[in-house]
Amino acid sequence: MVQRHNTQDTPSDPSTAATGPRSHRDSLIAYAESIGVITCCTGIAWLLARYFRPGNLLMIYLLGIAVVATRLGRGPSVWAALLGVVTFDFFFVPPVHTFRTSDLEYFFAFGVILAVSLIICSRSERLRKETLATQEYERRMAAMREATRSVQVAQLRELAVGALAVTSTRSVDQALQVLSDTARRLIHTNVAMTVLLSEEDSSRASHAVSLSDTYIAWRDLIEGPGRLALYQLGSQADRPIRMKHEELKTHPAWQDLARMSGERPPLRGLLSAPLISSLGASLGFIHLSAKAVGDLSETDEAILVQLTQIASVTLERLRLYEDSEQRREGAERLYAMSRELAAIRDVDSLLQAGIRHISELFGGSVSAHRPNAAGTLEPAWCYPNTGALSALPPAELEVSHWSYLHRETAGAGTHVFPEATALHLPLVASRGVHGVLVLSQPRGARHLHKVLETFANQIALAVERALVVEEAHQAQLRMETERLRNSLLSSISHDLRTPLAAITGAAGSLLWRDERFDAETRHQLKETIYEEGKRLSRLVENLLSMTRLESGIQVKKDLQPMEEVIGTALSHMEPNLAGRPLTTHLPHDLPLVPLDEVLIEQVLINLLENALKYTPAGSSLEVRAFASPGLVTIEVADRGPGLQAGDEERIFEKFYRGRSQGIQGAGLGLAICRSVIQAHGGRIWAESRPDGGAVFQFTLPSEPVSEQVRIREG
Amino acid sequence: MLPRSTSPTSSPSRDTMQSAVLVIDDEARLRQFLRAELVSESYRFYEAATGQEGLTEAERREPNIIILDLGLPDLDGLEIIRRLRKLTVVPIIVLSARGQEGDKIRALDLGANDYVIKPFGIGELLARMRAALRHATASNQEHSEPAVTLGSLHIDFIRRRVSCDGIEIHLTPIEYKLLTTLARHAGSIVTHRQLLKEIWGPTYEDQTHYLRVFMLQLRRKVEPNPARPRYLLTEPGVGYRLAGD
Repeated sequence: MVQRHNTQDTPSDPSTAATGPRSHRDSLIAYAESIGVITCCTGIAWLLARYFRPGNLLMIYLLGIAVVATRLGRGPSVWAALLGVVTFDFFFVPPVHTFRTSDLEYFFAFGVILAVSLIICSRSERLRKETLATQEYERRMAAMREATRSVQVAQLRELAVGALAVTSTRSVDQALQVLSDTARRLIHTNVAMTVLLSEEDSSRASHAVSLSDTYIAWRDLIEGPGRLALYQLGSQADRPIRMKHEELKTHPAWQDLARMSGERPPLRGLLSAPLISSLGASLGFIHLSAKAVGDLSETDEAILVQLTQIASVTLERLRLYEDSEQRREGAERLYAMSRELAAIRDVDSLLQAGIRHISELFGGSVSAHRPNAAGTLEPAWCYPNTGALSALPPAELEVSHWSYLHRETAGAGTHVFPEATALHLPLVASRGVHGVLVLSQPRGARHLHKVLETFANQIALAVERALVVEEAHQAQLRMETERLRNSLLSSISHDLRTPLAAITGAAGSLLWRDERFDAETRHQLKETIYEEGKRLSRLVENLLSMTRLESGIQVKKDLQPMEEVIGTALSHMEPNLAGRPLTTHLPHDLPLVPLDEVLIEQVLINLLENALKYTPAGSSLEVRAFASPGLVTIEVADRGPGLQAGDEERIFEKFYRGRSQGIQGAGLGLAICRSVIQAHGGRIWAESRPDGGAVFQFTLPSEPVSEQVRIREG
Repeated sequence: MLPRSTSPTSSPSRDTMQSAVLVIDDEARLRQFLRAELVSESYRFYEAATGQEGLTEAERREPNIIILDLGLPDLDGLEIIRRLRKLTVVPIIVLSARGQEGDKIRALDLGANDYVIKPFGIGELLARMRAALRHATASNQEHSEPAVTLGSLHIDFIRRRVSCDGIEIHLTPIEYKLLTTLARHAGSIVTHRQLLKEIWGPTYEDQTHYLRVFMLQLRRKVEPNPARPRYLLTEPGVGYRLAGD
């Protein structure tokens, strides 16, 4: 059936799929309906047949066919027309109930009816088609709107995600990079670059570049010399700029870039948006260029503006945070440095600690320069220590000297010698300038100069304190030396003169008045000469020992048994010990002790001589030794009058003499003992014994036992 | 410093008869004093005031013993010993100041036989000289005394026996060797190095703590009171000496 194709003339349009072509079943129903309509018309015509002529009854069929044509389409209406002619001819054209084809006039009438019905049919068909087309159009429009809306939602979502990424960064540098990356991804461009201008110094800026994989090759150009051209593109950017490629090509900055890059500059079209602070000041800008597909659109611009607004807030916040963080760090570091410096005494260590703190806080290498005797600055220390200290280049040295002479910060980032690469901070304190600190890579921010100056001042004060303390110490040392020399002179001159007078006197008597004396007196005089000579000798020995010890003697330690050195000392003292009960208590398991036997023998002799001198003749002496882990203790005890309260420490001082009435000596013996024992890493002390007398004790560090067992068995 | 156990005026012993002594010292007073003492002890006395002169005299006079001051103005004392040892093997006794332990040891290592620290008693010097001369004579004649008696201590070299107050003392081989080595040089100093070399061998020359530990054991066996030794004397930082006559 040809008619069935009438609804299928636009089958390719997917928007009609919802309504679809009329099905076979539907058209059968339409034909059945048209049969029904004709049946109804026949019924109505039969009821009216007795009142009207057959020609008028034909109008009823016309009405019916018109209805079919309007509602059911062309096929059913042709079908209805044919069916109407047949039924009208059969029922109402006389002779009724027969088909005679002689009534031509009715065939004409039916031809007209058919024509009318076909016209109605085609009209209504067109109308219906138009209605369908309109519906189709509306459907497509709705779908398009839906699609656009979902794209926008996706973009908004991406924008939100991107904005979140930017706002959740922790540092300005990170934020700049994330912003560049996010903007480039959102707008689908190949190049994105964010520039953040410095707060204090508009000539300094930090930047972050994001490039697609295909544009990576351009990184050196864009981050290097091309950066200035790109800065220039954004320099007037207090509003968004969008340029097509043709517009961009006329821009002088683009031409600069074209010159640098050769034939093909890596930019195609430009979209730029400013970063504006909450107070309306320009923070910087972001450039996007070379969109992957097509030109940069208004939507792109809108998205970028939104993103940059969010980013501006973040950047401003981060900048404030970093600033306050830097100040906090500075304050904490300053505190730490002050504490450390307070515990340091010498100038060199102070400078080393100071420059270490500055370098660790501000980065770069820091060197300290001190004036020499001629007033010329010389490098003293550098941190991080790169081995040999090198002098500054002449240009920087000039800045250092200026800073040293004028007591002002100079060099990079200041008004004085701003072309210098380093920053020079004078170490100014109340008594003058103590040197200059040189920072090789100073950071730009000017407020940091204040912090740096505070550091320098702290160091300068500490250096000055150390110098003052050193001077005071020297002065005290001089006074002490002077006092000692006086005390030594008076003590020595007395102690030297006394035996000398005795010797000279006795020798003179023997020389010139020999005959006047009896044998016993002569012997006494000779004995005097001998004894006083020995005393003089001992005094000189002690003086020499003390001098040697004070000039820093070398202790030659040798592992040996304590018994031997005690035995040597006692053998040495044998003549003096006559008439003194002396007991020794030396356990057989005493460990070996590393000691200088000559010096320790001297200690023992001095302690024994001391005991002999200060205790009554015939009173007993004891020498004892005992071991404890890591130590051997030796004691020399007497039964004399004991020590005067408060003398326990002072008797070990040079030229100090305790209960010295009538007892000769220079007050050196115990001082020598203390020097020797200290040089051995031991301790010496004295105390009164609870049951009468004094005890002098000293300790010496001993070797671990294992070594000693090996030797004994060996 | 030893007690003046020997009187300087005691009669000249067999050892010093006809012995010639050369004193090399720049101090005229000291030479004068030594001349008086040594001549009275029947030594033939020669003297020299400088190192050079001393070397000449040593060659010309062929002394039996030389007394040398380490601090001469013209030549280093150690250098003089080195040159003297090329000329002669006679005993050299060094005079040194206290505190020059290093010099003393070097002098002994270079061939000096003993030393006396200034200021010294004449008795001490004479004892050292006698010990040195006795040892020199003994080694010249290539025979050593069969036994040594020191106070209550008796050492029989032939029967390898040591006794104290007649009671035999049991010594380990090393202790015995230590004692006899010192006894052969009785009255003279023997350095740590010499003892170690002789008893343990050249590779042990620096192991002085071995020596000290064995000396401690020996003293505990031999000495009546090891804390106040009478026979086995220590020369601090230098070596040991078996007490002389």
